[in-house]
Amino acid sequence: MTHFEMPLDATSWSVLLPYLVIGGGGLLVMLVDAFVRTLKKDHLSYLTLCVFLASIVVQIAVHPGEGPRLGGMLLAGDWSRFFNYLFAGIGIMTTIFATGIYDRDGRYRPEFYPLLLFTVLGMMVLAAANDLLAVFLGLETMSLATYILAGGVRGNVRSSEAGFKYLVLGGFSSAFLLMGMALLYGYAGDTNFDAIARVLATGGGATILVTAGSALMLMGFGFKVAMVPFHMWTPDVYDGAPAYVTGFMATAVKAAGFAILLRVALLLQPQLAWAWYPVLTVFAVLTMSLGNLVALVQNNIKRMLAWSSIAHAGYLLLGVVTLLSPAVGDPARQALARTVGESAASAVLFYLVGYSLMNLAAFGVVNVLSNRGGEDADDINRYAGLSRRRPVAAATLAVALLSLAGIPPFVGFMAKFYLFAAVVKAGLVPLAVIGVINSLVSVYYYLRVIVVMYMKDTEADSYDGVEWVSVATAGALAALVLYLGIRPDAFHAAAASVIRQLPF
Amino acid sequence: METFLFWFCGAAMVLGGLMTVVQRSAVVSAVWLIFAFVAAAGIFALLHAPFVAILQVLVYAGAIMVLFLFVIMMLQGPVLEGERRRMKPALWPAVAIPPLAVLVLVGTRIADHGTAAFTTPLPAGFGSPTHVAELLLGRYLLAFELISIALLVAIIGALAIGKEERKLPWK
Repeated sequence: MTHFEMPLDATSWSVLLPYLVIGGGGLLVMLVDAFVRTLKKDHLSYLTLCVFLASIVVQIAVHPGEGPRLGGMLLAGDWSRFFNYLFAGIGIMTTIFATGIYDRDGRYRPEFYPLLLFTVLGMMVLAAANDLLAVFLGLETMSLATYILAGGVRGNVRSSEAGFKYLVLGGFSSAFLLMGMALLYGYAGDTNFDAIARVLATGGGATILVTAGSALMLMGFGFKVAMVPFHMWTPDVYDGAPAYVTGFMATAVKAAGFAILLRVALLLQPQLAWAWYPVLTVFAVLTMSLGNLVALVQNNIKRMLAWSSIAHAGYLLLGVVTLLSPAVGDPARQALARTVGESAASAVLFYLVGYSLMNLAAFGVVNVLSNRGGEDADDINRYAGLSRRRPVAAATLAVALLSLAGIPPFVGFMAKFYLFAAVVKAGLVPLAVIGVINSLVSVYYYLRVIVVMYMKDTEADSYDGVEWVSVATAGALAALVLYLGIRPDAFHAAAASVIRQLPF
Repeated sequence: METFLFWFCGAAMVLGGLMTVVQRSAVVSAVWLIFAFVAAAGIFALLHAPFVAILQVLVYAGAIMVLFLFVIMMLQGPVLEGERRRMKPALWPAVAIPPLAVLVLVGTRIADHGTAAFTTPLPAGFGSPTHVAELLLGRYLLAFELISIALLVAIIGALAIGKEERKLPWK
């Protein structure tokens, strides 16, 4: 018998700790729900919050060092730490927005909490993945749980439709992803990112396998981040799912998708930039333009935000395109390549955080209103007079929407500024111009909601009562949106330092 | 002999897969799927993975398919009714292109490097239960555990969607 290698030494445990906290927390919440008879309303929600907070505390306390760990499965260090904080933060916000849901939609949904924790676990693994196996398993854990979260409101036809559509199309895209991974494995003879990078560097193996494989993988990731032309599911699923789940999907799932897209793009960049760069350029332009144009004509605020999230995926793709641009790949100008690459990648990270903050603030308000207002509660016209009756909610939504439109002094502006600056630095001025034109177009549909809220009024108060905890949380997010818009430097520097861990 | 077995198992697998898709009765489809699984086990055996081949027969062709058949019969899976419709000619390329693309890929690889590109010498003990266990509980331990979480999520989801509505415990 050959040597038996057990990968779990002390360092491994410390790397695993945040994942164990979230995963174990999911099991704990599930068992508590099943066996604790004295459970009162909202207790599961508090327990879930505690698990998320514990994972953050563990992240702060334990520093397992940098580099691939656990037999090369996961990448430990600032990169995964950054995303773990982001996912835990989004999880906390989602839990707060979802608290009391079984009162609102009249149904007890205890499975929501463990599923939320398992989704976050999948995302954490996906963002930290250093092996194709970890990528696939993280993605599937995340996706399976999201299908159920989206379709889980029983007796609600639109929610069921959303869940079913997401499941079928998601399964389809996972098949593409898996086939792509198989081809890449056939090319490199290994699933580990470092091993693949070594094979790519030597240029051995059949190029056609890695080209076709990476194209299929791009389809799989493109589906998750709602990239045109793989975006068809987005409006229906975002509209049909409950608003607190939509907010979660639009921020966390997208962030996880972009995390792995960045990793894979950087991995394949030396060999495949020539293929990915033109393809992704076209996709990025299409994604931005189509998302913004269709959002113009939406009357349902969730559908509008869904199309806007497609548009934002387009802006984020610009960052990935910049990473793959000829300016970064040029070996003659190493120093320039490094600065351009770093500024593009850190701009993407900054954008992801800013986008998560403003989108969660928007969905926090939309969630409160959509749970209180009956069938057509998400119609934008129902928001008339909101500023008079619900000033805090209206102001929060206004700040979030202005930030999404990219208007200073909010974080959305700074995020776009860093991103477009990186694009220009790489010499891709036309792309930056298209991006700016697109954000100008987007101002129209974001402002429309604000106009309805502040300049129109109706007689009847269509909303009875507002959950002040959710509104206060969304308000705090809006304050953060403003703060990061005014003082982005420190945070941007932090994002840049996270990027240095990745190879260029 | 090995080549003959490979083509035999491969043809059987393709036949099984095709019949699974085109059958109108769910039960007959499931039985054809067993056929395809057994053929796949043959391929695994040819690939020096006897353990996987045995598992394929035991777990897939055995346990899982029994469960499949049981569920289908319990739910009385309907024989698809309705008019027989031909697939639109416009869709033919969509069906034909993916397998053809794989064929071309593999074909070019063989044309470039000969079949040697696919046959690397195997380490001793490859594919044995010991070897599989070492990988499963060693390098792939984390993946192994993650799969269990993913399956748990699927179970929770199936229960959450399928079960009767629960009463609020505090009312």
